[in-house]
Amino acid sequence: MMGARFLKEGQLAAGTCEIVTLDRDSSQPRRTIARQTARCACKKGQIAGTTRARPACVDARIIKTKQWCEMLPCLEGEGCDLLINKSGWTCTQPGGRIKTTTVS
Amino acid sequence: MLWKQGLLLALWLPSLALAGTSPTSCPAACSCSNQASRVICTRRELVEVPESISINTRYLNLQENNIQVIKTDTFKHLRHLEILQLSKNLIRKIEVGAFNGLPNLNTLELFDNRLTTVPTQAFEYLSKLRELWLRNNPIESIPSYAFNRVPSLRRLDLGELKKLEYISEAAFEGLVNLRYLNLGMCNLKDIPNLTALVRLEELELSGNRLDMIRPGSFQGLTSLRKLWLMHAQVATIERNAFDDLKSLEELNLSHNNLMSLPHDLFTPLHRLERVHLNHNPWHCNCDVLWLSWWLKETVPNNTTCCARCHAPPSLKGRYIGELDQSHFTCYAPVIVEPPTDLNVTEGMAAELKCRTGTSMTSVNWLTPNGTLMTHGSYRVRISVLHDGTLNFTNVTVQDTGQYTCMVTNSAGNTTASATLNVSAVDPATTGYTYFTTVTVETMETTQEDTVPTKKEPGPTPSWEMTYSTTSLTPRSTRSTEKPFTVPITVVTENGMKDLDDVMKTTKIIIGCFVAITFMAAVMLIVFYKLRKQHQLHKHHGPTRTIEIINVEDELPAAAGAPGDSHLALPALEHDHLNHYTAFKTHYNNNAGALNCSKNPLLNSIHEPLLFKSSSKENVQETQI
Repeated sequence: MMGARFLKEGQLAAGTCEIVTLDRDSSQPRRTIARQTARCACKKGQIAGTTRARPACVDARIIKTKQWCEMLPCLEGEGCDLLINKSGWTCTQPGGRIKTTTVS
Repeated sequence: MLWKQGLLLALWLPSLALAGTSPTSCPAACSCSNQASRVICTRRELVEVPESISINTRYLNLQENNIQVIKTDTFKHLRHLEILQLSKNLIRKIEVGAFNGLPNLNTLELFDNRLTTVPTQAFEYLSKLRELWLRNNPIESIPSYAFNRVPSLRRLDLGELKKLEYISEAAFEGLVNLRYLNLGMCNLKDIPNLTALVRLEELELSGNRLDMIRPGSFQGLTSLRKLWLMHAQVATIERNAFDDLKSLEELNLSHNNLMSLPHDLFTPLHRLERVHLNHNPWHCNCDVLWLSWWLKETVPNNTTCCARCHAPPSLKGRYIGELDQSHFTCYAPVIVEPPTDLNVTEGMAAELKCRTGTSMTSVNWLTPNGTLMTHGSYRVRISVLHDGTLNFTNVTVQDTGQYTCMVTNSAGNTTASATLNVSAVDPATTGYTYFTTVTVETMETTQEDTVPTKKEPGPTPSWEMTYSTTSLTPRSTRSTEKPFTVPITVVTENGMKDLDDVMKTTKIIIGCFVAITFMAAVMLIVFYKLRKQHQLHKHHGPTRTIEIINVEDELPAAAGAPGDSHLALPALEHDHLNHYTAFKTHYNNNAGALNCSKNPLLNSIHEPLLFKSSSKENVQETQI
């Protein structure tokens, strides 16, 4: 799914990620809530994050400083905005649809 | 001589007047000699430093009095003072600047007093101080840089600091000239950090409670010649503990609890010639055999000087230096836990075990690049632990290779090898990182429906029809197609739901179309007139324009009724607008700021028309 190369069972190749849990809640009308945990095997200085809406190893500094948009979490063409309290980011599609992601 | 004195008197008169002393004056409580250069004021029950001490004083002895505080500038005028003895008083406080004005002081004795701290602040400007005696004071701690102000120090006596509980890692920082350090009888449990003392030659550590001597304790003491460790309760000396002491000549380990010494402990100490090992409960077995050999070889004339066996009973009282292999049955060492091959990833820690039955063996590790590692060797990442384990804090790919552990005792040696295989960074094993996110995606109800509309707008075909009646060419029709898709997009973006707004929007749109139609009509007329004028000059024009003439026939009706734009709209067009409005309301969409003139695409309709009016060539171009 994430292009993660699996070495052995449960072992990830360097720099790859996999989605460990994905819980999609569509019970509410007009809104989908997806709770996702990704696991990454990153090189030194990197840490699990999101790039182009996929789990990826990103610069650890980005996670530390919570400058989420620097890891390019949105799809190409989408606009990224940092949430005011730095708890996450929003991706705005050209059509105006907004995805709000918070990091937990 | 007299003449000289007179000169001195004349020279120092102003300062003397200030101090109220004459060059040869002698305080009442003191005895002076040598033209007052020697002032002795001992056992006078003085409670403070007497005044009127001669400026000539080079030696001042104030021992065995009751002085409690040394105040600032007490000795300020004694610029020739070289030796100041303040020992055996009740000094508990030395104020900042107490030793100001003593540029020639080389010895300061403060032993047997009541100081609880090192008077670091008072040491300023003692640029020639070579000896500092602080022995037997109730000093509790030696802070960082305690002696940093007196780098000239050569001897430092800190013995008998019985209340001493803490010595900072940087306590001796700056003492680069120190030759002698006494830390005896200070109740030390560990040897403090002495690495700053690069020129230290003699170190007194006797009378402490050290229990164990580890390698690294004497790191950096490459000049140390004499080390005293008597009565220090030392029970264990670890392998390679003295390896750093390359210049050691004399080692005193007498009166300790030593039963044995690690194999070849003294081998790296090439200059060692005097070892005091007496009064230790030496256990004489194969493990002391190396010591016996070493003594015979190094001190052949005095092998009996040193140590006697305490056990076993059969050998009790025998000198170690007299023993040889005939007294024991010795076996080569056994590696209880040999190293095993190891595959690790770069950056990880790693351990190659080499545990032996007894810690009295020597352990050497041969690394792939040929270097020998011992317990005392210091590398940034690699070290040999006391139990023989080769420890890597952080392996690199270059560490890959075979490692051989060689355990030696007097009977021989045993080796064991293992291969360390370091693979390039694969952080999979160093640990995963996790990233948990909660994404909320809010859909607008119209979204799914609007998207296809955008791609193939339903009303557009009918609009094309409408426009074919008003516009000049199919090309311009195509361009009008665009403005229509745009309003729909805008509509989806803005979520107003009022019917009033819908109506308003509709009106604006209708107005726009009327305007466009009107404009087109005007243009056509202008164009037609121009053409006619042109035809008067030239009889042959492009045949394609005939179509336009046909269209133009219908136009005057629309253009000729400028009063109400609504009325001017052809029925078909009106129909369509209704249809569009219906479409819009059906999907509950609204135009917020729909404005013809603001829409660049709508403006583009006018452009070809304007071109047409400006020149004939342009007209043809746009028509094609």
